[in-house]
Amino acid sequence: MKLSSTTALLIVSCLIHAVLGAEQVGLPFRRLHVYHTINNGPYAKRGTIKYDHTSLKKSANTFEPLSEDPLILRVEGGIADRSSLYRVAVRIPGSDKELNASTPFCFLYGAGFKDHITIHVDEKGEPWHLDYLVPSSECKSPEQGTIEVQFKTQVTIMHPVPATRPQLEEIVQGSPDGKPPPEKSFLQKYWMYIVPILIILLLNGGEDSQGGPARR
Amino acid sequence: MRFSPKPSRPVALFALLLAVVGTACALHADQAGIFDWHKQLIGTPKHTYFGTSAKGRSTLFVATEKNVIASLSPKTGKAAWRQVLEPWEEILAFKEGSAGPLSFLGLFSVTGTEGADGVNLRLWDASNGFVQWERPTGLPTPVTTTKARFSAFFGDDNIVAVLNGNTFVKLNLEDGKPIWTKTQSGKAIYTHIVAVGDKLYAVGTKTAEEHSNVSILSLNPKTGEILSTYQPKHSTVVSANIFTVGADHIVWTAGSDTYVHRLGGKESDVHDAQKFLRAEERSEHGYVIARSLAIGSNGVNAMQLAGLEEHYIWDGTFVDGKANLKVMGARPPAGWIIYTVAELEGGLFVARIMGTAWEKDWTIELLETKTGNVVVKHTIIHDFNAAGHIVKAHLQIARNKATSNVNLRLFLVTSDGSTRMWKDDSVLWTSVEALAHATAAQFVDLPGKDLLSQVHDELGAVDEQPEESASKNPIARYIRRWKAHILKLVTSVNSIADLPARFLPSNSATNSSEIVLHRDAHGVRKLIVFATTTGKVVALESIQGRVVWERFYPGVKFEQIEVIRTSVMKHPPLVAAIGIIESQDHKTMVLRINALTGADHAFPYSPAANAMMYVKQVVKLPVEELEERTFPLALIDNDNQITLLPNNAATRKAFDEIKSKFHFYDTDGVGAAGFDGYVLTGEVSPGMYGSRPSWSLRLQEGEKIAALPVREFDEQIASLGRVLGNRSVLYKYLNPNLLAFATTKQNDTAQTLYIYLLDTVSGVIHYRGVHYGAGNVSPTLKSVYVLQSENWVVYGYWNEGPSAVEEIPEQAEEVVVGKSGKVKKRKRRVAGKAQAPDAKGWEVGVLEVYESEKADEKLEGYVFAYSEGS
Repeated sequence: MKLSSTTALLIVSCLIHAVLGAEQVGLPFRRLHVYHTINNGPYAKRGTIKYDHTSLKKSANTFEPLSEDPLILRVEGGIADRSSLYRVAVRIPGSDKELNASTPFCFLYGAGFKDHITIHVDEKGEPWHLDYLVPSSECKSPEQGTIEVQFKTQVTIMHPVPATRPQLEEIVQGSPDGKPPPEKSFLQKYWMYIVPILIILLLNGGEDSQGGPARR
Repeated sequence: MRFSPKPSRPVALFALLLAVVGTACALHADQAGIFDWHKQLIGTPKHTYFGTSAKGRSTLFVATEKNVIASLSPKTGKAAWRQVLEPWEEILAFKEGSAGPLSFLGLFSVTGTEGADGVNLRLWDASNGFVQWERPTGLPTPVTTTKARFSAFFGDDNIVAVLNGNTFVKLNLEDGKPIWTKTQSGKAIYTHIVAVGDKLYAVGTKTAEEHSNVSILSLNPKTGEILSTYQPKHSTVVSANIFTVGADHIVWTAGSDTYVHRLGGKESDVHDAQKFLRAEERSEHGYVIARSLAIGSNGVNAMQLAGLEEHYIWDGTFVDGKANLKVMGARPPAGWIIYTVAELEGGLFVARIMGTAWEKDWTIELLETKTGNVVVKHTIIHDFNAAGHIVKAHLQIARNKATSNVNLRLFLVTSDGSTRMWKDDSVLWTSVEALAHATAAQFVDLPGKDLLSQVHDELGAVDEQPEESASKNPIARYIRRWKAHILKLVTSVNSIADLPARFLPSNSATNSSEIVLHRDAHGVRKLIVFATTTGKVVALESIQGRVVWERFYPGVKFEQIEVIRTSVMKHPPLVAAIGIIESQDHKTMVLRINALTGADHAFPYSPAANAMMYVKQVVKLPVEELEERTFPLALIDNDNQITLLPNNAATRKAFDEIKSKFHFYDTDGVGAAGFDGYVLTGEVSPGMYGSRPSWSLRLQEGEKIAALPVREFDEQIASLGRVLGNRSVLYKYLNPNLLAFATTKQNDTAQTLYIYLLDTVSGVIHYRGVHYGAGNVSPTLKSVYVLQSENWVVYGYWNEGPSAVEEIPEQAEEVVVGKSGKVKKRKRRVAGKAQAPDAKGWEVGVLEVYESEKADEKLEGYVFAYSEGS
């Protein structure tokens, strides 16, 4: 069966509408705005985090940069040491709450501007804490001037993990199959006492047999 | 002639037996959880009473600051029974007696959850510690500060009590049924109730705007009818200290004045106690020290008065209008004097115990008040530096039928919170109750036998310097070596002979000099050094729990103890005990103590005791200085500046090696709502460094830290990984900066426990587990514990069950973990209540942290982050 071009267009249009409209009809996508600065400069918008707090899939959380073009960053003196901080702020729409994190700029540069934003959410999906990670332990500093920055950002939403709880089981009478365990025999119970005594008797027995002829 | 091999067989068997002994001493799986020793502590006694058990034996009843009531054997100190009451309960009175067919030994207590359950009254059977009856009164329980508003005494078949300062109740002793209840409205708060003649008298204070007045109320004991209220002359006081003397006199002190009033007498019948003394004994400023010497709630009370030259006892009687005073003895120029009274053969005997901080000889004098004669005088040994001074004494006396002499028992409470029992001039037993107030403890590894003399250990245990040895001739040195080896042999034989003693029950009275202070073959024998809030530092050996040494530092409330030098070199191990002195603006005190002897340990230019202001945290640094081979301490002040202790060239040099990586975190501990991390900025002055905040963690609203373990950076690690069945290895995550802690969040209906793994360098939360319906048993009863070591965390908590589980508002996915531990699938959770086991009880959780979930894989590199709180 061949679909007419009008029907195909209608189907595609419905699909697009379904995907785009999902957010509007109540599926739990949320957005957070990400700002950044170096040291105590004014914050500039860097992008938006879109996440579904009910999903554990990594793909459910994305970072949408403000622009696909690389950022132009001006590097000035004094940025090389660890005291110069790259700061990130996450603002929650409809709330005056702001989550902050920072890292020495030289580590971010050393990591090639690869970073990892972790948003900790509560049971209702409300963000309450921010972790900002860069995969580097080397303090590298760029030369002074302007550099082009292309962030490679990964976003994780961290829920409280239901921790393991004890499994309650009913008390089983006797053995698991319900039958009482077979009683052990006398030897099975007390062999560990009998064997050493036998060894001692055997060793002392030899003494008597050799001692007999000696009395003669 | 030939040698028969037969005689050697028993020797061989004996040798085999000896070889097996070592194996048999090892710990088997079924021995885990079995106590090596157990110290049954009750706390520092608040109320003490010598009574008689149901079998007619002498018994010591105590109610302690830890809210324990116990019946102790005066001979051994062992508890016949003990009951641990809730923290808000209060013991009101002790009494032995009988009511109708019921023969009882009663302890009367009041209890109630603050503002909730109300006041309950209980009578305890003192023969077995069972509750005889319990009676709710319907009265609200007052806040803690007003617990002094309770008083009670036992009548022949009833108990009369004043509750909440204004409600009077008379109860039938047999079943606790109220005979009458009366409430007096007004501002007066009554704290004492006594029976005089055919009336009951309640005594307390009535608060006016700037002062109080001593107020007296009389009741009809049969009906509870209030007969009168009045305020005696000189009743105006700023804060009253009221007590009773004799059968019918009350005494109150108001500043420097002490007044005596006879209950049932005229309102104006008030004596100035100063005038009881002869004129030449009175102080110029009219100041007379007067204190109550009580025998229990119903016993005959006496008052001690201190004149300028002598001490006097007054039993509450008058002869020819003059107070019947007896001279107790000369007023000593210095030191402490403690009085205690007891009755014998209808007469009142007073014991006076005197001593000083600098002498170990203390004197006990027993005076018969009828004649004023000293009938017994003993000298006892009491070391102030080990236990502090004697704060309370309780006397029991009996006449020896054979010799007609008076024998005494003295139960003493010392300022470190411990107790001891003296019989005449010797100690019967001691109990280090200060351990009930322990706030910190550390295991200390003992040195090897030759470690402390390693410079000359080739010459054996004889303490001699190498230069001294070199000056002796070779023959003498040869003989010395033989002597040393023979000495070692004898010691080895003795250690085998001592083996059975290791399994005998501990004896607290063992002479501490007999305890072996070197490590055993497997390093099992250690010292445990405790620090308490009562100023006590005490070391126990770990095999039998015997006291090795004890020290007392008056006024220091210890909070922390650190091992600052281990036993791996020729120097003795050292501990630092850290506490605060509340009386000196919360100064922080750091004491350096030799862990083997308990002696103070000073360094050149660094005293053993250091007191500093404005220190909020003391951190042991993870680096050893090379001069004294100690781990220096970092004192962090309120401005987050760091000062090294000791601050000398060696510690500064050691710190230089780590300062670029040094970080620390700050929290107010249990009950706090967050953490703050800091890194160093630079050196402010030699040995003093600045810092700046690096990360911050603010918990969710309503969430508070419930348990915070103490983690040692230099803990011993058994192995770096866990070997799996296929010989691959799961590497342990041994980051010393990983901190596990538990928090709780509670509302009216639900409580939730969270367990965290936090990186204290970066502030990153690695793990946050949740237990719904879990937390503390009650807000006042701590029930969450976390223990962290190596790569594992063990935590315990109370499960309240599904009724305390919080509602989950929206759908969320949850991970279903298969039996193999791997994620099986993700499923969408249905909105509603989360799950919790439907069984109230204690639960224990264990976390193990590995470098990777894959075998043979280790983490590479580090990630950095500084998270700031919103």
